[in-house]
Amino acid sequence: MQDLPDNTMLLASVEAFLKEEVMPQLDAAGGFRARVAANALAMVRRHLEQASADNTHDERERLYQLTGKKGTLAGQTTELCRLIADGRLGAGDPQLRDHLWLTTLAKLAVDQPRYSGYQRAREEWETFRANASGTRPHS
Amino acid sequence: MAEPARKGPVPVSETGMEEKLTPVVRRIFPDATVEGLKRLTGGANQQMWSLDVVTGSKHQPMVLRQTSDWNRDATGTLALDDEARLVIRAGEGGVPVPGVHQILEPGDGLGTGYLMARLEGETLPPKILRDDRYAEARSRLAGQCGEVLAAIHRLDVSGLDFLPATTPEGVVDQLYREYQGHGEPRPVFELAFRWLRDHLPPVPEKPALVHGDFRHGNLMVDEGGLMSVLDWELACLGDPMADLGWMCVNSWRFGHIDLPVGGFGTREQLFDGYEAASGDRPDPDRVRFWEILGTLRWGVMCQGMAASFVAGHDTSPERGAIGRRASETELDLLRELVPLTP
Repeated sequence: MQDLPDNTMLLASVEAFLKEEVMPQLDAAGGFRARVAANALAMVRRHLEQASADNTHDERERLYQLTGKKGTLAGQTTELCRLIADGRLGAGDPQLRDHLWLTTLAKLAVDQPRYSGYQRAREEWETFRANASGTRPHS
Repeated sequence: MAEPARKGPVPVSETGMEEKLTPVVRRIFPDATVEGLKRLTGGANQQMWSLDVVTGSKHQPMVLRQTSDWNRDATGTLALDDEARLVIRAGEGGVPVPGVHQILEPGDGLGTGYLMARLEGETLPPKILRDDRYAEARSRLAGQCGEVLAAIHRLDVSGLDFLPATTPEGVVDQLYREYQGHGEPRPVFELAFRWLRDHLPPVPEKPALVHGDFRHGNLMVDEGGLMSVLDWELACLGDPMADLGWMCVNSWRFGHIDLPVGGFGTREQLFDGYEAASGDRPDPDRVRFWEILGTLRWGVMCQGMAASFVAGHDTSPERGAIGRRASETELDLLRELVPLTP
């Protein structure tokens, strides 16, 4: 699950910035291109709004394995937080380890794929998976 | 433009500002005038102004740091007049800081704040980390940070009663409340809070002055290295190792992931400088505790940006994009607390 603000809200924010702040400062031709750019973003945003209904199947399944709960992704995540805060799941749990790594890597792939920590973490994850024998990482 | 006739208005008119500032600078130099006044930064509650104080042919470059009276309630930050008193004390104790020329008084009608020297130096991380002119500075910067932190931590704080006293546990609790206030549960943050509570260092026998925000942006650098420490408003009394840990957070390395001190130096260089100046070698485990807390703190701050975007307080793309950087800190926390060992 990506964090807040979600993708469509970010796109709406950039659309408003282009139309309200950038366009008034440009000449007619530039203003037109800015409007086109904003409209393109709007297109992508609408597509995301329609298509985002269920692309988190794996994450929900892992959360179900960890918490024993079904329901919304946010509800499952809150339940996982409760188990961690209570000390019932901790850093030593391989299933929790795999879930947190996979979920966080997936978020960074969208949020900031150039982040130094992400590049390093991806190498670590790939090496770890290649070396893992016996207990195969959960995916 | 007329200012509203109430106490401590937010000054937005530069003309009005000049008139109000003139008596202030004349407390320093009786016949001085204010020239070249311009607003540098600032939102509704805090502003920075650049100005020259002119006496005869002499121009003194200064900065005014100023806030309106009704916005003094920000929790955890010092009032600017108290900050000025602390900066003066730091200067007396040998810490490189901009000289404080004058603290605003209530009768000045300018809110709370102070006039300080405007220094020529660089605070932008990309320039400090990449420009050739700072190559020499980079090689000694981490050691200098250690020396200057040692000087800060041994400052005499008697009479500075406005400094809040903190404990490691209190800092963790406060951050947890802030995190919970954002209403967005995060498993990695929960795990980090749990780890911090399980690894609380003992409360230091003698609490030291902690700068509280010792990192890029608040460190002014020239070709010779660290020339001035800015922004003291998050100062408190507490565990001095908090400053060393915060300085090592990956978010301030700007891609230079293997140089933990601001992307320009090693922990050994930082610790060597600290030990040379204080006689005490920092305890790496204790510094690590504060680095992990610092990483989480930046993550919760980013989460706060997202919360303010979602609540509609600031819906700029910039605010939203910073909000989404909380995930970076989650990955840094995972690499520290849930390392992958085959």
